[in-house]
Amino acid sequence: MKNKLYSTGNVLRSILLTLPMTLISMMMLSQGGQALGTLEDTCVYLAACAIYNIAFFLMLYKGEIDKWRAVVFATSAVLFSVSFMNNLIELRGSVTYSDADVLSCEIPFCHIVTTMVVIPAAIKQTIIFPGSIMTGFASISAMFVIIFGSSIILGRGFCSWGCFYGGWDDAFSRVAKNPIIKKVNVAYRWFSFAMLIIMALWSAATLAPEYCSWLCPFKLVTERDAIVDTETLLKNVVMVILFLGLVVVLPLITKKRIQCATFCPMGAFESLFNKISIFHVKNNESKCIKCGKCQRSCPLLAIDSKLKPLINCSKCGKCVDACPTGAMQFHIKGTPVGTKITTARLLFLYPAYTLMVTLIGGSVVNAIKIIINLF
Amino acid sequence: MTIEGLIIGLSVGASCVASCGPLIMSVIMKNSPTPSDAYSYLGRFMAGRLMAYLAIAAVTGLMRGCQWQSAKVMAVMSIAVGVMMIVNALVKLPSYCAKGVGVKTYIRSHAPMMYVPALGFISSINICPPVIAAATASLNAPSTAQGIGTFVLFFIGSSIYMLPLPLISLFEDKEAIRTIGRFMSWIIGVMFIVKGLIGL
Ligand code: SF4
Ligand code: SF4
Ligand code: SF4
Repeated sequence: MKNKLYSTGNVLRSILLTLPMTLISMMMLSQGGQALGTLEDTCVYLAACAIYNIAFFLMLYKGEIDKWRAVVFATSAVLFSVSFMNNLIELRGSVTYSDADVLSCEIPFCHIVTTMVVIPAAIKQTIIFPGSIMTGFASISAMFVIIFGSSIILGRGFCSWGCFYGGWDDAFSRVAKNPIIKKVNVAYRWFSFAMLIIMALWSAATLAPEYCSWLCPFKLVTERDAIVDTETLLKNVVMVILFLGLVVVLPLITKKRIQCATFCPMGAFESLFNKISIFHVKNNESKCIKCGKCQRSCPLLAIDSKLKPLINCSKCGKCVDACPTGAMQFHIKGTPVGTKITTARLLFLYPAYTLMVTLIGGSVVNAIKIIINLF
Repeated sequence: MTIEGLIIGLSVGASCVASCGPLIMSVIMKNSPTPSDAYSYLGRFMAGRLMAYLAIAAVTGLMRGCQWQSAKVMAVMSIAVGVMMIVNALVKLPSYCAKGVGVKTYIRSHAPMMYVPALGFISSINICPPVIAAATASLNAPSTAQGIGTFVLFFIGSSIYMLPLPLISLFEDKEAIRTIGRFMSWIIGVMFIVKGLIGL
């Protein structure tokens, strides 16, 4: 079914508007030509291009952003994990890391650690992450440029369009038809901000990325401590409990992205960029009938009691899709509300989707190859 | 020699923000006072901290190098700080600007206020690397008085970095700030209690 408010109306117009994205995705997914070696590689590359572009086309043609975004976002997250873990096995022989790997700075930089690196770097002039500054497939400098660049443009859009973990709890939050727990206390949206402040300062005090060491659930689907003593055993137990609790079970029973909405310090950090990003989701109050559908649908608890999106909105578009009157809309700050809403959507969609293709697309191509080679 | 305390304080003050900053920040945020109240909280926290430093300096001077610091005592202190943070999460502190009339009324109405200096005292007795550095300098001072002077200057040097913290109370969304402060208190409380229990 089409969302008549936003559907571009006809196939040809949708194809034309998809064309710029096709070019961008073809360029990004080719990984500088590396993805096009053999015939098999080229087929995989074309398949990945097709997946991304069909989803983008459907966003425009059907007028529904979140539905198609979520399909690609969740699939990309799973495929990223497949690719990442396979890379580690090829490089290090295992998805676990030892003290020796930490000492030799062989840990790929993950964006979540940004929150723990910035303050020690500022006040102690120390990079506290055991990764490479310039080299490797996830060097600190490359990730910094991508994270800060995209965050300045998209704000917390990163959390629904760029993060290669967010797709996990996004996926689990969509499995059940109806939530078992219907009301989640919205105050928990601020828990991640408390985590951000404490983790940043705790890491500065100990000069170690403490959230990564103890609390990150996504280590289960990337890399984790090798179990060599009681401490590393405990870390692994905590990781499994947090993954099952925050990423699987709670999203299943609440239909909310609990890990991203309440726990991840990077989500809170990204939220701060919503203050400077030119894109935001806005409620055009003149059209709002106060039905509350937007608030109920928001997976990040990011809509307040006055039905206004808050600082922690990740611009996923779910509330925009759910709104029956078109009151909830993508908007460019400083422009008149309620005019050129399709233009604002498109201007947001291109950079947001480019981020997704750039950051996760290469891993998707790799993962498809890995899976094909299994058979 | 006492100037050494100031130099140490200035050079490690950023670490003090990282170690003690979360405690006072969560108190300020949870109780979401006006900026003047927030600075009043900071002042009292610092007063507690100063008392702790003076106590450490005095004991260090008196003991002249003897080992007086026990891991068990530190663990108990850690649990005490943890419990105090959980109290902060649960109880709203009255405004510091409230006035009491007469000594008795003043004491009664200000009894809950002793919470913040006590927090500053107990958390600073918990010896961290900057304090050890200052304690060493204090120990090398020729007299107990100069040792105390070293610690006072260490306190001044390290406190400068704390001064921006109360500015958090300028944020407009008071409800959000209060909620974040409450959650911070819970997290820090649990962390300190677990740390203390492991150390016992
Ligand atoms: S909140 Fe954290 S895990 Fe979730 S999408 Fe954002 S950065 Fe990724
Ligand atoms: S407010 Fe809307 S766009 Fe923002 S996170 Fe919630 S559902 Fe997504
Ligand atoms: S879904 Fe749309 S109409 Fe309903 S409350 Fe939200 S903004 Fe208003």
